[in-house]
Amino acid sequence: MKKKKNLTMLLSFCIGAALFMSTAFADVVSKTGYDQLKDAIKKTVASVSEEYDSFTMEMALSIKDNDKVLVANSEIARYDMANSRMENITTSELAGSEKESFYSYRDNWCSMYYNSNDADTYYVNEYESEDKDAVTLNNFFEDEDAEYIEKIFDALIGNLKEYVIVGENPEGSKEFSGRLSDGQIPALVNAVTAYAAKQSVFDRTVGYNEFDMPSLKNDVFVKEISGRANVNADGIIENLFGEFILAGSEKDGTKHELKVELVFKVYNINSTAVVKPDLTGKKVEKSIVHTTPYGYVSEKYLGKWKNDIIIEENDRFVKIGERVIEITGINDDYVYGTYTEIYKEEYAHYGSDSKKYSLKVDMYDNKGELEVTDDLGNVIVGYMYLDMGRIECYIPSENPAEDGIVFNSSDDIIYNSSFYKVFEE
Amino acid sequence: METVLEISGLTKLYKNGRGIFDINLNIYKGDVFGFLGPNGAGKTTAMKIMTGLMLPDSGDVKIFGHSVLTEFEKAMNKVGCIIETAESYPYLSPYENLKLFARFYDDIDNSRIDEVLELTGILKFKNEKVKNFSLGMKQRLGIAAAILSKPELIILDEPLNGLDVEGMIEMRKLIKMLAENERTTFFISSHLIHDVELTCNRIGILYNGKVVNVDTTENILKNFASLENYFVSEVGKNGNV
Amino acid sequence: MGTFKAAFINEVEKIYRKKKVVVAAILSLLAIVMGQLLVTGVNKGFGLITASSTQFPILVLSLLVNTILPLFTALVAIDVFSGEFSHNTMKITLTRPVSRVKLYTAKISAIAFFVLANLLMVMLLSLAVGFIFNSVSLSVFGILRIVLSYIVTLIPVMSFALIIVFLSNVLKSGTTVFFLSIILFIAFNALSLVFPRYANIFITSMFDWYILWNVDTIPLGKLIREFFIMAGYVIMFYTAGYYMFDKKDL
Repeated sequence: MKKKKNLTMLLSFCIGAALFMSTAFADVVSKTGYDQLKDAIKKTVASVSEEYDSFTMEMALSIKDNDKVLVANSEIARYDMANSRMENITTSELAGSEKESFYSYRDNWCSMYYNSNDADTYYVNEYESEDKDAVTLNNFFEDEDAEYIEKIFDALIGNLKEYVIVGENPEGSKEFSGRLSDGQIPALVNAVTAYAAKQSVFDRTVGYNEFDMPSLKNDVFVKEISGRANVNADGIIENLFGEFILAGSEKDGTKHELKVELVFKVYNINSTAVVKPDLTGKKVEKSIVHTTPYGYVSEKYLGKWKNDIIIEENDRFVKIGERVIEITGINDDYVYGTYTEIYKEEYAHYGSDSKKYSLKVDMYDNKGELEVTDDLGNVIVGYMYLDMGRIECYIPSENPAEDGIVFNSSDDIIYNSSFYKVFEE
Repeated sequence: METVLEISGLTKLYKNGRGIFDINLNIYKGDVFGFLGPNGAGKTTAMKIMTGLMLPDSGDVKIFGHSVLTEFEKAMNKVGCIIETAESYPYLSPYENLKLFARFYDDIDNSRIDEVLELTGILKFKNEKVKNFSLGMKQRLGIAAAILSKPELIILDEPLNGLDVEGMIEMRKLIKMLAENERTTFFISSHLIHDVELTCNRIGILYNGKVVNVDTTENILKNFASLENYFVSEVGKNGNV
Repeated sequence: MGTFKAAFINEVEKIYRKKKVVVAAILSLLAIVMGQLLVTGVNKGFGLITASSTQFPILVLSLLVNTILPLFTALVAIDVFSGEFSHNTMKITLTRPVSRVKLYTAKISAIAFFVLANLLMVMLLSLAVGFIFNSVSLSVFGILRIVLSYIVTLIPVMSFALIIVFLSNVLKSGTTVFFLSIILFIAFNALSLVFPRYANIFITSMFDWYILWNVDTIPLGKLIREFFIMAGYVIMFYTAGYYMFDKKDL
């Protein structure tokens, strides 16, 4: 009898465990519509940024106020990665102003720009040297923080994931759709979204008046969020449509419904051709862009740079010497130099413990990171930027204020990190 | 004679080596059985197993022919008991406490609750919270709870604990009354030899976890001057006192 | 079945008489008041509507289910088991003609009864408050959705409660069980944040499964999976808890 009871309990426990394990496993393995959509978005971004030779992307954004169009913006971007060419046609329409369209073209050697409202002039930039990164798209999912942000986002929306409904077609393509109406949007999501919209748009007076954006002050809430997307058999989003309705009223009580619509399309994959426009016979304004492989750093920075060492004495600034940086070498990755301080004889005691440093600036991996080595071989890290006609150099051990605030002590040297070129005249 | 309680081969060992070993006992209808033994002899252990509070290592207890291990509800249906201490819910009144217990039985109505409160002498406190009660009053309430369902077997573990002299006398009267009028069978444990002699008509001695001897009070008093002499003699045979 | 009913009524009456319910009622009221203050404050201060009258009860539920309700459930569950063991009152019922399996089940049913009662009470109050303060139309469908949301929340909460019941049958001290339950609750929440893929294994992430019931086209597969996971939890811990309860020597 007792055995039978124990057996029953064991059996019951095992059934529970089996039920739990199998469904939990199924649940972990199963992909919700949300997960599949996320995969499709990642795959699309990865494919356009890394895989495809050419494609056309179309994006459109419009904002309507009670069905009156406030903003309509659309963009067609053609990418020919194989030949490093892209062009972009943007049309923008703001309520109360003329429709505008922009055309731009870019390859490794030149960029062109054309505005329909600007007297048919083509602005052309020609590059002195080839810019190999001119036509690229970044895969932002490969960012360091992307995974982290994704996790937090997933956790925050929780069971809202279930609002993404997926339908599969026999040939492998999928249709996604989802709709959240006001009752279904969690209060927190509603509040945060509405607050963000209010802060960034309605509570600002500058910039939005030109197209009659109503200023919603009261009872602002997210009325509906909906979207749908078609994903082809390769898992690439062919088109995506999103809609967002924000409702609220102005100070005088006028009610508004702002509808934001977003469209995204990818097509002509591997069959998009971009041709450099032929500008013969057109009005062209051309400029040459000087480029060096590493931006603005060139041999023009070689030589001596200095600033004055100054103290405050009897309510006056007094120069007691000079800081001197000599740039001795520049190569692809690094800039080399030395740092010395020269004191006037009567103030020589200030320089009693002044050091000579050798400097090495990383121009490539960690732009501006400065490796400072003193006579004894000790290394500290500061920074140095090569600005136009000026060098910003910061060596932490030379800044007396670093150890605490000592502004009022009259004996203290006033720190200055800007250096100016010494010209031999 | 109808067997009310049948204990066979009951064994329960604790980790410290104490416990009860192979207890065999039969209690018959009409017995007022005194379960006598010094503190720590295993009386409470045996009684806890009898009332389902503990599981034995081996052996069985049958009450009215039903095993407490497998047919607990049937076995306990006509049993009332107090084990170790008389407990009640302190945040309820005696009346409410008894009302809870009454739900487990058929035909126990409010008048029966008043009746047992009257019998145990706490009727006038029936609506006060039990948490303010003295130990003796709690003991009385425990007795009331034990006899509430008009049980045919009442198991009492040290029923005189906490009672004053007057209470003890009343308690003995109550047991006698129930035994005579209702033919209720009693199983009473005690370490008070004198008390057992006065109350019980059959006596079993438990010593070091074993039942040493069982006999009627009448027989014992024929051969010994008092129960105490009998106890000393029986225990003496089985070791030293 | 008669004895089970008796045991169930007794357990309900005991919990009811122990002032815990009053405390829970006050706490739940507090949740509603806090929710309403939040909604009104945000509306007045920022000009935002966070919850209409149909949303308000859901807002309250989302607050309740992650704070007061698990706390209240843990308190009741611990009281019903650890509390009775430590106050020595467990034996009062155990020596009555009711088998341990019935008593165990009656106690759990009583816990479920109070969780449900708490949920329904908060639901009615928040509906009333939402009605009075946030005057946006209240549809029959909206009300049904709210009722459903509150009722289905019982299941995940009880799954968690059974873990607590198991613990209070294993450990002696009710305080230990209480703190362990809180740690467990926090740990489960943290783990589902760190491993979102496995979130549903940790029962607390299913506290908001009422959302699933509100999707326009109910995701049946997901719903059934979550239900089975919870059923698995319930069966395992019900059995394990019973095993401990049954072999307990008093």
